[in-house]
Amino acid sequence: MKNKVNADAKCNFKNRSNGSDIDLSKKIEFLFDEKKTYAYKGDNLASALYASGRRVFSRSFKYHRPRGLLCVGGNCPNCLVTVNGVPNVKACEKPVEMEMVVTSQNSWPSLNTDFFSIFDKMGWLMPVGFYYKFFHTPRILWTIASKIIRRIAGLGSISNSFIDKGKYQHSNKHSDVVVIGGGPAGMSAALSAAKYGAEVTLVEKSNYLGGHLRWNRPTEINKIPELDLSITTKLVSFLSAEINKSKLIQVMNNASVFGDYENNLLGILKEKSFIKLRAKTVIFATGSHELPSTFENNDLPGIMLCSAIQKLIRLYGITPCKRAVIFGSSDFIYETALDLNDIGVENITIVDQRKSIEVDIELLDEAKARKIEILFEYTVLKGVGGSDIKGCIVAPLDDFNKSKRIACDLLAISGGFQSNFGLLQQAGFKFRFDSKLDQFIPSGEVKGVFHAGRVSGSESVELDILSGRKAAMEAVLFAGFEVPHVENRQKEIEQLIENNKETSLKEDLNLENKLKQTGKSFICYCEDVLVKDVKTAIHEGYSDIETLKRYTTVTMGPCQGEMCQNTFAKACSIATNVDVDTVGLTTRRPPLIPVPLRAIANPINLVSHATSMDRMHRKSNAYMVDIGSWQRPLHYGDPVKEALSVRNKVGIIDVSTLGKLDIQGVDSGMFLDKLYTHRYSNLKQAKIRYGILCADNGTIMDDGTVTKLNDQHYFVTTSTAGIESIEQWFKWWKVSMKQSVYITNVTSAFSAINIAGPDARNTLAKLTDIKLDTNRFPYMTSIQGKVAEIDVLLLRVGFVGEVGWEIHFPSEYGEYMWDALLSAGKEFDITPFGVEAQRILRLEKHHIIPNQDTDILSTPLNSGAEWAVKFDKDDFIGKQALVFDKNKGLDSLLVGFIMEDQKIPDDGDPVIMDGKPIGKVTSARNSPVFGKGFGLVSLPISFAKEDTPIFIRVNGENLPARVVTSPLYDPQGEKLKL
Amino acid sequence: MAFLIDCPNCGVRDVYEFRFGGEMVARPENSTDRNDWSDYYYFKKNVVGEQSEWWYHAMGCRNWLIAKRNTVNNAVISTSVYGDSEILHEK
Ligand code: FES
Ligand SMILES: [Zn+2]
Repeated sequence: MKNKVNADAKCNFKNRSNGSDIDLSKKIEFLFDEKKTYAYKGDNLASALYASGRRVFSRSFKYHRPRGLLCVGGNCPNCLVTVNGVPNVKACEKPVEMEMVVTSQNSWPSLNTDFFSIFDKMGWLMPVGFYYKFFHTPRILWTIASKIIRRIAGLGSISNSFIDKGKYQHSNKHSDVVVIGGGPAGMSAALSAAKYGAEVTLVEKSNYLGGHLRWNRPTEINKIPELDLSITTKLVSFLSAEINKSKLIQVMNNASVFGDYENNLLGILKEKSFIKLRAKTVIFATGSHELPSTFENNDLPGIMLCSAIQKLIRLYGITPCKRAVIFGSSDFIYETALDLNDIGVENITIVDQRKSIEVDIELLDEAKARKIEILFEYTVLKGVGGSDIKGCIVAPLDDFNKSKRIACDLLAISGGFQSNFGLLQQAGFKFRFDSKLDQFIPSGEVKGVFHAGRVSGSESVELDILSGRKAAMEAVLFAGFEVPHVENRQKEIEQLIENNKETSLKEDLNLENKLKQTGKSFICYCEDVLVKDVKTAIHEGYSDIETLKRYTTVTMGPCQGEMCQNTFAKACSIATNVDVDTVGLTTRRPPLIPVPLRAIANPINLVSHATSMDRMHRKSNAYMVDIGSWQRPLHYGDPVKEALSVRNKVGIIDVSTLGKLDIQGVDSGMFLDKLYTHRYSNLKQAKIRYGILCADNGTIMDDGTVTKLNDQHYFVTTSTAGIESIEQWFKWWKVSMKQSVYITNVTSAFSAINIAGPDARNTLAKLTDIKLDTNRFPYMTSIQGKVAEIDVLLLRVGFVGEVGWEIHFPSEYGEYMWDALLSAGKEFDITPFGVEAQRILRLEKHHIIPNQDTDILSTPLNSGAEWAVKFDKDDFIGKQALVFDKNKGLDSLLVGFIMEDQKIPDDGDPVIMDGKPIGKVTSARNSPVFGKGFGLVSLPISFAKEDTPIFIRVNGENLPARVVTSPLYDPQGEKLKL
Repeated sequence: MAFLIDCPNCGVRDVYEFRFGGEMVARPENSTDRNDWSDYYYFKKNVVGEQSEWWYHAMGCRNWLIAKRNTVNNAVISTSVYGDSEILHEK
């Protein structure tokens, strides 16, 4: 047999021979616990540290026991380290990079001498269900205890100053067939699916294709059609080459599928990218993983799974020991023994729980020929050692008293295999316990989802390949591809599978023998749960696997049940006397692996809009704020001065962010009558009318103006924040009422500037031929014409309570228009003003801001806008609710107030009468015109009368104010009509 | 939620492109009974199983459509434009 491993390698920790993944010519240096450590290119942290002689990798969760490499496959919690500040990284999955800073976790002062390992001696202090049993009373005890416990128990910690650098890319991908797992089954599935013409994505979690073939001992293979190979060593390169040749197969490596969601949506994390892969159909070839055995001290560093040893040997060229004991009950342990012997480990003892006749005869002869000691029908009772294994106690299965001790520096164990069921569970598969295979395998069918290889219970390479082909055929049929002579092919493959089914009947070992319950025999490495803990918990009444899981926390640690699920079900079965199949599995939900929130959160979604005049504002040193998704100038230095300029001279403000809808069609008038509380169908051409939009419960959704351009064409403005939902709202009513109306959101197509103040007319007149005098251009009318040579829609509205126009024009002229107005207004001392000045000015006019001055209970009636509700209309949205409200009479009303002294309340301050809060301030500002605090307040109806004295609580003081029912500034509204 | 919706205008798209618009309920246009209106506005049927509901294709054609969806497993059975007498997009 040909091995990639140099058989002459010295049995020395420092000496590395050629592993398939490493490059001995390239050395890398990194830091582990501040010590310089060396690795070769291709090493991961686990192989590099192991090769450097390190055996203890971490401290256990509860007892702080030393832990070493167990699976070298990312399936256990034993190798968690902190890498460059990121805690809980699996060393065996992390490729070493130059200058990486790696530290150990959960130990103090150091990994080798951990102070908290005293807990190992005090297990009685922490029984199963610990959290439920202690610190109930007195309550204070828990606050103290929890602090201590959290310090001692647990995994790595993250520093407050840690920043995860670099962005995650988000991408969406689609594929006819997605194959998950790049082992023999997955590779052959991908190849056959591509042969039928399907586009295939092959997702592999590691950097390489090949799966278990990469580290398992090469074996002969039976003849399979279209595969002219007799030995597994050539298989990987053969299949890889075929895959590379295929144009239809895309290989996605270093990619972990963390969840299978509805409609075959797969969540994938690949380095710094987050991929949503949508498949027509999925083939799971996720393989299986090896399980540990349970015996006392089965967690000592130096106890490793057989597959882990094969990986160290073949992938990383490491000779893991000098003297090995190999324990299990399958032929796999013989293969591992031969692998070790190949690289020069001479002193090997096999402890086989089976009888000699159950062993594959060729393997047995080979082992004997190599002078490997074999103990049949023996078991391991206990591991011996401290921070490294020194030996083990073995005994014949039928008489534990005849035990003896064997010295070793490596105890290789194999407790069988378990299919990687997590993703299949999420896809909807149920699992049954197959006692012949001694593992849970998927049962039943799920539409559009298939599985192949070890995850389906295959035990041979032949079956891996054939089941891959079968799954591929089913998948492409499901995805709608033609398979020529489909029936013949199906028959053919079924026949082949039948011929290749191995009949290696396994002796079903007594479960009790498998689960030795004495001492510290760990079932769950993550949470330090012992076999006997499970028994105790069941005794305490938690007999169902799901409640048992929550009580004992088995399967809830970092390994998410990979190492323990199978054994856990068996332990439960023994203790409850229910068969394993009935006990069942707990469910593994997504994400299967830790996924940084940063990877999922998508900052790209946080859009920020700038108006077409944005650059001009910034040039004028505007203080910009986020308002909804827009950036707007809050002020240009002094909002009070800006407000006074508008009142006394002229000001301009960029109001491009106003929502704008273009409404056309024969039903437009009727349609708007239905949506708004006001009436529009009777509006004269070119007229403007204010409007409120209510929901059908009568509450205010938004407000704005409606301009009638002609009988079938209206121009609607909404609040800045409201446009998105109002557009949807309009469209919904259009569709559900089947109206002939065309709604177009023109918010960003048109920019708008509001010019207001006593000199607004003079300024504007310099730029237009449109006659602006009140007779020819009265208040609340519109004219389409040219301003500064640009086509505009001029709306004469009373935005801030002065003579003014809203100029709407194509956005591309934003900067030009802004400049033109500023230059024209120069002689009148024109001032740009921001949102804050606008707020003050509008508040002085008692203009409400929806969602600031209104809340979820505000209607036009209790907001003082009953004048905008036309009850005599046939129907409008919210009408019935408002009728009910009106008939019932109002409870509260939004009115103005003015402070009696100089203090200014905040938005939201309560109104206090007789020591009780009775209302609240919705908006408050200082009035530059009156020099006093004022605003809007929601009050019980009995207080909402002119001049009623009220008290507003400002900073803990009840300050006198009085109610003002009409606008503070220009109560008759004369100025804006000038 | 990761299901797909077959927009009658745009084709099959991810649900995240859409905004949910609630169950399809008839508005009690002419009723003056307060209970009818509060039922309409506040009370949802919350069917376990198939229901017809409104969806708005916000990141697509920006139009409303109706989807018949099974609330148990999020299977979208069909989609259509309101007003069509028959369901256009039977699966
Ligand atoms: S040794 Fe790394 S996860 Fe098991
Ligand atoms: Zn669409």
